[in-house]
Amino acid sequence: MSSTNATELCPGCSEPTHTGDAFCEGCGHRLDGEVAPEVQCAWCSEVVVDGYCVACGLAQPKEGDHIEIASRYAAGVCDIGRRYRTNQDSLSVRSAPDRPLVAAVVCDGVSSSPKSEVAAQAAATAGTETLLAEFPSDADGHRATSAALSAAARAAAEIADSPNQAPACTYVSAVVAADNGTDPTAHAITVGWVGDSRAYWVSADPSTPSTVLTRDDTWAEYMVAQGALSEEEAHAAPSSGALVGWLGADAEEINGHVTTVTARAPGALVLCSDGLWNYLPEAEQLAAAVPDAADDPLSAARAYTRIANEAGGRDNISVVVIPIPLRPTLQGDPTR
Amino acid sequence: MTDTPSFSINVDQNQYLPLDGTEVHAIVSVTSSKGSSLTAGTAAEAAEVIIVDTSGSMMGNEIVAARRAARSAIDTLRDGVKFAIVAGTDRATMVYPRTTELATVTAATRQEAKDAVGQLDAYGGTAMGEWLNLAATLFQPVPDAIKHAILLTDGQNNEPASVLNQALERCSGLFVCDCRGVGVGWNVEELRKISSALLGEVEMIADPQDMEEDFRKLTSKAMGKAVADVALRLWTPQTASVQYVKQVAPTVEDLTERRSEPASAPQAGDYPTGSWGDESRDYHICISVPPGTPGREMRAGWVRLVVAGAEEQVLASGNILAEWTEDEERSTRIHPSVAHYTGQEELSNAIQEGLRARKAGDLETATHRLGRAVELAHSSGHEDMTTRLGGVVDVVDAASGTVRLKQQVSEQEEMMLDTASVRTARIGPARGTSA
Repeated sequence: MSSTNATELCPGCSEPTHTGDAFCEGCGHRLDGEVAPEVQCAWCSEVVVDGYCVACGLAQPKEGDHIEIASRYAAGVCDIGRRYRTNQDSLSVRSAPDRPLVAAVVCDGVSSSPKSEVAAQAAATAGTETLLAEFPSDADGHRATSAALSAAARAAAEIADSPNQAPACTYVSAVVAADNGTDPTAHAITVGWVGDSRAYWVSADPSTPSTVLTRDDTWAEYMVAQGALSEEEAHAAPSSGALVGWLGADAEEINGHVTTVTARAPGALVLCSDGLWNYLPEAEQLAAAVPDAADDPLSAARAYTRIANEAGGRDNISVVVIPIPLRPTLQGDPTR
Repeated sequence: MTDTPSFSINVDQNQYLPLDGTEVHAIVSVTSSKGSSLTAGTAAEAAEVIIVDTSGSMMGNEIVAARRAARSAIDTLRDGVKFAIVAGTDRATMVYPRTTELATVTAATRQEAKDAVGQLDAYGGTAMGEWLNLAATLFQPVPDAIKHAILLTDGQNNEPASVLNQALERCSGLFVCDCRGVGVGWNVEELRKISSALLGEVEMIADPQDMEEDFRKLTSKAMGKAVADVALRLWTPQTASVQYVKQVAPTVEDLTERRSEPASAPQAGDYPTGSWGDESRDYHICISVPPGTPGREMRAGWVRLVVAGAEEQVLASGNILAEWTEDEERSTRIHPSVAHYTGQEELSNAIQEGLRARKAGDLETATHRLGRAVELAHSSGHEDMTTRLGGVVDVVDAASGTVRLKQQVSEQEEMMLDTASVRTARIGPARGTSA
């Protein structure tokens, strides 16, 4: 098979190119004589061609391998980890511009499904948008969280090309607002989730314990909840970690969970994917790993990411840290 | 050039390295196929020189067979091809044309050349360096043609080694030369040295009767070449270094020392591959890289196939990658192609070392090395080599490589095995045409 109007070979990849093409179909190499803006190597500052440095040969970090978000009231880090080639986690953090209110979502794309990182991103974005839009109207965290879960579920399901090729992701959201009551330290925290991404209360007050606020949608947790197996039996089973709930077009029914707590002592709310909590499953471990997490949320999120990577980075890592009581942070972008 | 065949490069490797891993192995397969629009008549200009040993030892059957073989080769040359026939003794003599130049194939010159070949007589000595030098002179006026020579001999060179070495140095890169040894009086290592330097292959013609068919095939293959002077260009990162570049199929040929560094391509080396027709060759490339950090990916080698010339042309390219991981399951895997050819390289060495030891009277080493060769040939399904090894050793158990040296081994069997030792088995179903 030879194409008749193939005139030249791409200087980048040697595939035949067609007259008039601006870019090579094979590798994206510029063919129209335009000089692409020079990209500098992230490691040695030489020029990058076709994604590799011409001097040191290293592949350049891909967009999305490492994302940091610093919002007015919270910060988050999403990192590819050390084992996977793609980052299928996603997160979204948004603060209200006019009042102490923040919404955050962490989604973990299920690696066995194609395009799951796209679903994760769509779900995370839909989640925070809906939370911020719905919450102020009636300050009902429960209702806003349910609405956001539904919006996220729809967004994730829309990514699917077909039910057999359905991208899927987990979801954990938080919406936190200063209580308007008499206690200025009181904050209403509403958490919603599907799957095994978690929310933790990390206490900065010695008299209040740190605690996990979510219960994983995994086979083990399900069997225990049904009374079918003891905690030990369930966690010893090979399928213990298998997800029984997720967002995506192939999820038969979305069984979202919503819980509301009121924080009356200082601390931080931490949302994370299993890429972090697998290394620090107990709330007290998570709290002890990064003392003073509430003081500087971005540094804390980076510290958690580093800990997970140093422990092996077996999975993508996402973590959002929301210091409570809410207060504008130094790095926080006031517009986000 | 519209008649350049299309080339493709495929890289087989396990790119994952452990964190302290510093050696990247890859099998780079190059396949060229001529477009269907290309017919024999429109091929690139070709030039062929046939060198026939006419030293005294060729007297008898061999010179008769050589005349017949040369005629058959002449018949196979396309019209328009430049050609010459050279007689080799202690000097090189033009047989056709009589003057020191190439003739052009026409019906008339073909007949004249065949008549001239009929007059070949056997007398005198053997000076291969002289023969090759004359070929180089003949090819000089056609630098852009696809230049090929056949060297047929039945004996050993009687020039000082330095004379042959100088000739090889002069001829290297100018033309491709395939060598043919007839009978048992020639030296396998000597012809291998010539064909290796000139990017050709050496074969043994045990029976002079087979010479005619062999020459016809050889010339036909030469006529099938569509592009000459192709180099394998290997770029490596500043922090990396090339350990070796070996052709591993159809034959083992170490190209590492043949590297030249083109001014136009920084951090790259060119390894000559000669001329190409419809065929496929595999290369084993090994690159040293510094240790990495988890998840870091590196282009450890960028392989391009380049045609030299006024305007350099890149025919195909491929990446050899390195990616560091803590996942041992990934990093400890060896790609089947790398494993296969590593075995074939060892097989080739084991045969040559075994035969050398046998000649030197070191029977213990010979048994050990040839036993290992039997084991490798057996496990890789290289049946042809297993059969040839059976001419030199009695196989007790092929799977474990248990063998006994044969008491009586004909020199012919031994030379056939030695000659064939560089020929490798392909992994899986053969790709392209094998020679």
